[in-house]
Amino acid sequence: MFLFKLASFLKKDAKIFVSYKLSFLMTCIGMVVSVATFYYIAKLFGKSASTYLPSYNTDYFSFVLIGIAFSTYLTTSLSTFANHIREAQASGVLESMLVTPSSVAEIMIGMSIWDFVFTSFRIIIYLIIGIFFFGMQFNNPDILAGILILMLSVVCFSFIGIMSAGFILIFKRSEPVGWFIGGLTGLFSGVFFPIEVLPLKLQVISYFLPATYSLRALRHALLSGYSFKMLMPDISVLIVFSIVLLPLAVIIFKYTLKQVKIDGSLVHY
Amino acid sequence: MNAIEIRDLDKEFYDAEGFLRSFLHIFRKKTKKIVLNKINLEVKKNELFCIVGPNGAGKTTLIKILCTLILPTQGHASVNGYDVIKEEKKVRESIGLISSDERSFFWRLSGIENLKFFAALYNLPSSRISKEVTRVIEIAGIEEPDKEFQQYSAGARQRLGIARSLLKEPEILFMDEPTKSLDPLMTVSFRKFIKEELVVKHKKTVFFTTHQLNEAEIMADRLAILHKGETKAIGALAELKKGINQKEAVTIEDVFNYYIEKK
Repeated sequence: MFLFKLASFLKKDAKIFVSYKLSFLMTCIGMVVSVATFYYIAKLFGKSASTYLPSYNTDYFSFVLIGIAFSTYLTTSLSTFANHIREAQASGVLESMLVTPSSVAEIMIGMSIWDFVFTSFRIIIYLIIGIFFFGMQFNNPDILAGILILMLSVVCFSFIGIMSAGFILIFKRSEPVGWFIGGLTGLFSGVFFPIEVLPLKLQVISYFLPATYSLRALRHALLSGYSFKMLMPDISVLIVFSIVLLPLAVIIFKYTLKQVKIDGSLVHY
Repeated sequence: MNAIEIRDLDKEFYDAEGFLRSFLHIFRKKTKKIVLNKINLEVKKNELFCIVGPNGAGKTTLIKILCTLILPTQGHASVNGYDVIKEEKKVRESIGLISSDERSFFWRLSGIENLKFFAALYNLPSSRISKEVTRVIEIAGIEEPDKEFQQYSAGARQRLGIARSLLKEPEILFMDEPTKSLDPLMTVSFRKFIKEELVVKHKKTVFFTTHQLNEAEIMADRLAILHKGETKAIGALAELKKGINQKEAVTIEDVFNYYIEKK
């Protein structure tokens, strides 16, 4: 039944998405422009950047493309739950969904599933453009390890995303968790440049962000030919993050949901 | 067993003051506002029960508590025998909600697509969805179910709301001011539909709210007058009229004014 519900959400969101044709076209054009921009930045600064990349055994363009492609997955996990709750509050469909026998968890996952599917599509397009048009290089990639790291990262970030959704129930338009983690991730997790570029004191912040481990492990798995054993330290940290974040996410979301049911603002926006 | 039972139900809201609104209710100064005060009522099965009261009386809050969307502060409420706090999933399996809010559907999907989506949320198995959707479209009398929702008239939107609420064949239907956005002609046909189709033919229990006194008079088997969060009177209109003890013919306006002014 749960899978059937997910399929119904997917079908509904796909229909709504294709009904906005210009938006789809603009997304595709935006991806090509973004890849091309980083290609030319890499061409200009690539040589000086490569002094920071010996452990990755790759060029700057491949490094940054993995960063921007997979960080979209992480930001989707971080923001999708809160965004969809906010959207459903504003569009008025939240109440009609919550009055059905489906659980809040089913509804939240269902509302977000399209974003994950579409982000996967975007990543594939990013990589296709990178490989076929701009010569992105993979070095003995371990695809299986890459998928495992990605799934673990999505789970870990989704827990932060669920906390963020809890706060959006109360604050309605903005919330502190997603904003804070999302902001720090862009600067300190090595999306656009290796964290070794940062001063040592600032690098400390990087080690508190799960995206640092996700992106490093993904790059090592896909670009540097690392074995599974060599990837284990980063994978272990991601598992620890997930174990810590899961109960926190559940407690915060349950608490905020109860609060908005008490103050009657569940569907306010 | 009654369809709905409410015992000593209270609801208080706390208005926030200052910048730190809702910051986990820790820092803000709270101002208590009593929205529902010691509500007691019973609704029988297959009854058309109406809550009538002015804006701000607490009608919507009461319906939302019964639909498990708001938690009461104190007291007990059960729907179809299930406690609204402890058995909220079972409550939601027994009810349908129709509000006057036109935004409760996906505007870029057709009526049928909307109904199929909600049918999945109502836990209908995929093999039964098409059949059930056709059934509720027929009951609700939706003429162009393939049209996008955004092209529907207000009346057709309200009928789609009814169709959705009937998907799981619930025993109890909640309607929050269902005729608020309808024109007079639509209103008449909608009221007839609720009474003749839903209550008489399909044996549903209907709990609806309105601020229109004539609507309560035409529709309700029994009604409750709600004013400033308190039930001022409950019963069939004829019984309430008798209670006034006035020799001249009394209208529903007289009944309403008498009970809301009564201490």
